[in-house]
Amino acid sequence: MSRQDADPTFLTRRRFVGALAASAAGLALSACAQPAAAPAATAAPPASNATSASTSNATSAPGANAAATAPAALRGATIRFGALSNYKGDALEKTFPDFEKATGIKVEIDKLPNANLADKLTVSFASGSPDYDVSMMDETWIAGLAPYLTNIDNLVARDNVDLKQYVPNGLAAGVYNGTRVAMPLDPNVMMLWLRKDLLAAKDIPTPTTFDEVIAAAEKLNDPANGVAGISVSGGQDSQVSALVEFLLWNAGGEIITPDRKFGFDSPAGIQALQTYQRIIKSAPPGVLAYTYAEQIDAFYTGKAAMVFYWASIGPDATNPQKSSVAANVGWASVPNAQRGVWNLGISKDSKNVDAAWEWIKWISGPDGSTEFTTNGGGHSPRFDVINSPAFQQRYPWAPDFLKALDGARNRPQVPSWNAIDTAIMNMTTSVLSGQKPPEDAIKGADQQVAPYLSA
Amino acid sequence: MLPALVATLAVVVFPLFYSFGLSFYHYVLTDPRNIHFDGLTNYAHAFSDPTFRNSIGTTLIYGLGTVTAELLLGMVFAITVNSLTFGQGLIRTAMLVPVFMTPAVVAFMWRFMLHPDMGIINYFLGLAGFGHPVWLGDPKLALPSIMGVEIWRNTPFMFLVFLAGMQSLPLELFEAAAVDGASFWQQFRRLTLPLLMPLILVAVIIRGMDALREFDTIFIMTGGGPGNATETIAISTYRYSFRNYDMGLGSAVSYVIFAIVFLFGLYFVRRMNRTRVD
Repeated sequence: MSRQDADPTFLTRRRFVGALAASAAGLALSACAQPAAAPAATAAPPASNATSASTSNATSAPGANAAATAPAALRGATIRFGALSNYKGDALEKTFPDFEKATGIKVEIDKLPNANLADKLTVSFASGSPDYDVSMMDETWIAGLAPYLTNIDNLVARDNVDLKQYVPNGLAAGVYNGTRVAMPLDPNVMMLWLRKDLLAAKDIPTPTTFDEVIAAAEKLNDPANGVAGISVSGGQDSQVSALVEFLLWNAGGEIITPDRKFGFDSPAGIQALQTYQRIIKSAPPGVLAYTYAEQIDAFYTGKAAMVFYWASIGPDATNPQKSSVAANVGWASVPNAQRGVWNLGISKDSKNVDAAWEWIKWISGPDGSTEFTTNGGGHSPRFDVINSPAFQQRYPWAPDFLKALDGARNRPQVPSWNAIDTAIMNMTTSVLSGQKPPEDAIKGADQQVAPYLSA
Repeated sequence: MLPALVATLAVVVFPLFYSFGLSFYHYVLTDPRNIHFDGLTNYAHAFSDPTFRNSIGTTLIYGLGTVTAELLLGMVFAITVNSLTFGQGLIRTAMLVPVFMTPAVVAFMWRFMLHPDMGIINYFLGLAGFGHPVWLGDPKLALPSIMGVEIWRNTPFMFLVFLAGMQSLPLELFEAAAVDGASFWQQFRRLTLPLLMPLILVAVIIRGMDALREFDTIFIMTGGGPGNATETIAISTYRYSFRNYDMGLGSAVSYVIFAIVFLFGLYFVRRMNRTRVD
């Protein structure tokens, strides 16, 4: 017997390679394992202007017992779920035990940042061997992913899911070319978040249109005291394109015209860019380097009197632990605001379509949606949940949220939306930073966008 | 040997040829029913896009500017430290810190330091009465700012290479030159520089190839903006491939970088061979 056979501690090349392989496998397994749920975004404290407009009871809605009716054959199934690596993913992860208890289906989550999730879904779904059975997807990804997604219309009809319980403008995000390929998880809409104390001090009423928002920002702008009128993004960030698209709608333009032309190449497009130039004069001094993080941070830290941002910041903006101005935060809906719905879709190449559908049905149903919003994941797409007293207490801006969502506009459903949005962002930052006048910037963007509109 | 060859073929050679083939296709991931051979359309599209043409210029300014600055600063630091009689070890170790830092960490660190409102640099500039420049949001400052970060991160590499080279040069030559009355400048121009030339060329090739392909620092610090002010070919490739999901165009553009880096490498390798013959 050689020494390596007798002595288990003797390191041979074979043992070393074996140990290395085992370590690699261990690392890979640990990377795949579900991490412990991180704390979710803290919910907003109850506010005095909460309204209780409950129109139906969450537990009485059709589909409420979807989990109980899940086929027994699906018990023990495991689905792979792609989610965002933020408070939304964390909130979803916390619901897994209840879903598994109800259906016997296990969910394996993989959490990725926004851009990485979009890339991964597109590349892996296109490959025909998807990494996920079901995934979160932003509404702007739907058109591009639609060829790889399961038609959900049949499943909705088969299981009698009552679509009337969903906010129509949220439900619309999951339909592409007349076919439903996704269900809403978390509808979002841009709203005005403001400092009630600063507006009151200057006797400014709560703005109801964006023209009034700009006028208020100019009055509130007080650089000498370190308070800007409004916080916006001015750097390379998707919030820049979101705002300029909204400004285009407000000026009466369309992002893509009915004859499939770039809508910014119009007087409304020039007006939108000029309005943005006007807005940044009332923004914090470093606005040209601001991304979404600095944009909302300026509001939370009292450096800006208002911020025009998604409703999803409500819980943090009104939380004294996250925002130093929480006690004075108010909100308002503005017409033509941009809609942004997080959806759930199933890969058409998934081998677990039925189990994945059970998950979507449960999490977008009354029980799952209530749990998701209670965990701080976001807003609910369902009337019965939004109008419940618990939701209205937790999210006191719910009535304004519903009003904003009702009047919200959506970005065009085109497969190459990312390319168009990037061109719009670059066009806008080149104008804001003084590189190009609006007319030249629009011409350059038009050239970049044209091939994707003719495709 | 065989497994290594197979692995190289699988992860290097195959993707190289595959992506070259892809560059002649209309291949947009979000348009899967419309994949077809498209000849040189992607190359024509790239060169007709003013943003891409601009990115070639930005790449050359970024690559040549940073490598030249790193070369000069590395040489000055190496000469200075080589003449020190004490503390060389400490300086060498300290200079290693930026080299060992992950590029992404460096980019985030500098992005925070250059932040217009909260950055430490603007804090001190404000105290000194120089205002608060928007380093990464002003098109005139954004490219110099990211070039400065690249120079900060990679000058130590040049310094260490040159210092090691200087310390391996034969002392007798310099002693003889000193006896003959050669000044410091004459010794540097007639002895140090010619003897170090092969090393300088190797360092320039390595750093030049890296700088021309630089992605992470620029992506994290400016994302290619404001507008397209800091968009290099590597950022364009990312934009075409992973923002627009246009794999055909992305592949075509990546072969433009390949051609530039290849020509750059070829020129300097030939210079190096000539130097060796001389």
